[in-house]
Amino acid sequence: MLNERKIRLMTQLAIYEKKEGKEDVKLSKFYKSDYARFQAWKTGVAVTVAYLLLVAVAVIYKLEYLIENAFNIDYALLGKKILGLYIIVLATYVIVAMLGYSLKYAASRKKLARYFRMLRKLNHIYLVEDGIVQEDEEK
Amino acid sequence: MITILLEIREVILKAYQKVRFIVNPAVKFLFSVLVFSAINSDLGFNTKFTGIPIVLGLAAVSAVTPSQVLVLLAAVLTLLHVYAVNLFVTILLLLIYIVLYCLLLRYSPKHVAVAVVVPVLAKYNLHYSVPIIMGSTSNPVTILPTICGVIVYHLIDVVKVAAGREVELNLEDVVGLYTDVFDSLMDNYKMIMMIIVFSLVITVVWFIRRFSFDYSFQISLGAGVLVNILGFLIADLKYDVTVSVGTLILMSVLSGIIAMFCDYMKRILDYTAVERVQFEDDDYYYYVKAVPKVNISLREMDVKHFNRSAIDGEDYEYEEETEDDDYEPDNAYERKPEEDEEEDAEMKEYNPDGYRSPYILLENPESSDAEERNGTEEGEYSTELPDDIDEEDYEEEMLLDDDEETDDDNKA
Repeated sequence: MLNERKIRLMTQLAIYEKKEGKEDVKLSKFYKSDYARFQAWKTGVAVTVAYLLLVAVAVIYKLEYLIENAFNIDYALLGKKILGLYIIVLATYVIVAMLGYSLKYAASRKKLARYFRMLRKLNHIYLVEDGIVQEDEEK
Repeated sequence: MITILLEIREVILKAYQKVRFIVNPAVKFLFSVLVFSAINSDLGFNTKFTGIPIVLGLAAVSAVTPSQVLVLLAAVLTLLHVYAVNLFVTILLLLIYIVLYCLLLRYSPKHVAVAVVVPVLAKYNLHYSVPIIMGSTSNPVTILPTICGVIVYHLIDVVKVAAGREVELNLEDVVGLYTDVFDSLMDNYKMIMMIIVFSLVITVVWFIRRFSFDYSFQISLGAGVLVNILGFLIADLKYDVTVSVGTLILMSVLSGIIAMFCDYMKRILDYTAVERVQFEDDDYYYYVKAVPKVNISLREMDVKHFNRSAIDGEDYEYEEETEDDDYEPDNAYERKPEEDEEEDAEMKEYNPDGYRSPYILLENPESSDAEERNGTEEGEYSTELPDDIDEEDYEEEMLLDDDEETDDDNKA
């Protein structure tokens, strides 16, 4: 005999799992701080790659000047400037990424909590079907 | 009038539900054709890739894959075109793509397509709609892909000129080429102003939309259009960025209308999607097609209720319906035969002589019980009501059946 209430619940669960649930379940394997830190790391790597490429392009752009003044340039100061700018860019991206991904994690947990509530209801239906608990008994 | 419009809307929604699986890829296909044709017309250096079959093939792939694939294919196509004429510009373009991805595009994976939407819409002056739509449907993170789209739009123009240049294989020529490309990108006030104005528009629309006052959404769109027009006018005055004022105002307003339409469509897409899912339990495999209920808006009827409490001036009390966790079958309130029997037994126990079950009497006139009470022969049915049933109540109950019979008679 088909249990309509069960099918309805299972359908809702399946739709959730098929759509946003995929990512939410993936996120749920992390702690919030771990997830945010992991994403911040990835952001840091991406920013570093981009910055290195930009520095390489800037070197080509200013190559003429660099060759002409090869002996007059204060390389220590130039290095400090490049490093300082890198730290500022990296810090900005990492901090914003930490905040953004924390918010994303919090939103995902809310959706996941609803999913678990539905799972509990489904479990209760199974227990009733198996005769382990009565229908009106506390879940 | 509004009701008719709403009813038309319901009809469209229902029709859309049925053809959704064809319409969505078809729209994506058409847009992809537009993207690849635009690339071919701007950078069509390699004639191997300018043919219609290539464009249709790439569009077909993009139509059935996520939007990230469209962006990737578009980027690869531009690189292939530029590679046919100038290796150094190709390397430079690749470097810029990597930098754009690392700094701008990877933070909003859902909106990656904006990077190609802006350059394509800019051909028709409709790119003003992108920041308004982003602000009204998403969050300020979409500023990043929008900036990327603006840069790509101007980058293609710069690359088109640079790729056509003759470059010898010596350091001076290559450095000269790179310097020219960067100069034309960095000194491009039009691009910088567009980035600033678009970022402002997204922020303003998003900010106002989140307020809870009436018409906040419409006001946010209006504010977005206004910021867009003012921003580009200021850019025009201060940096002499050539913008046609008439086109700017017209297209900005049109963009606001498009954004409103997109928001409406987004709601439809979000809430009318037919889902097909499959799952199983211990006994069955389920293949479920879940069709969202489209609200049928019937013409409103003004029904007035008069009752004692209203006449006495008492307030109505409405009990708010709460979400019902427990499923109730449709026949929950139907009377079951065993309940009748139980009640009969109870009543008989209470008053063994005086009690007569109305159910036996009305539903089963052949029973000996009824016969005894009404004095009828077997097979006959007495139309007389028992004493304890009020005639008016009985008529009221049977009114519905009578009407149905009359209708049937008329038809006959």
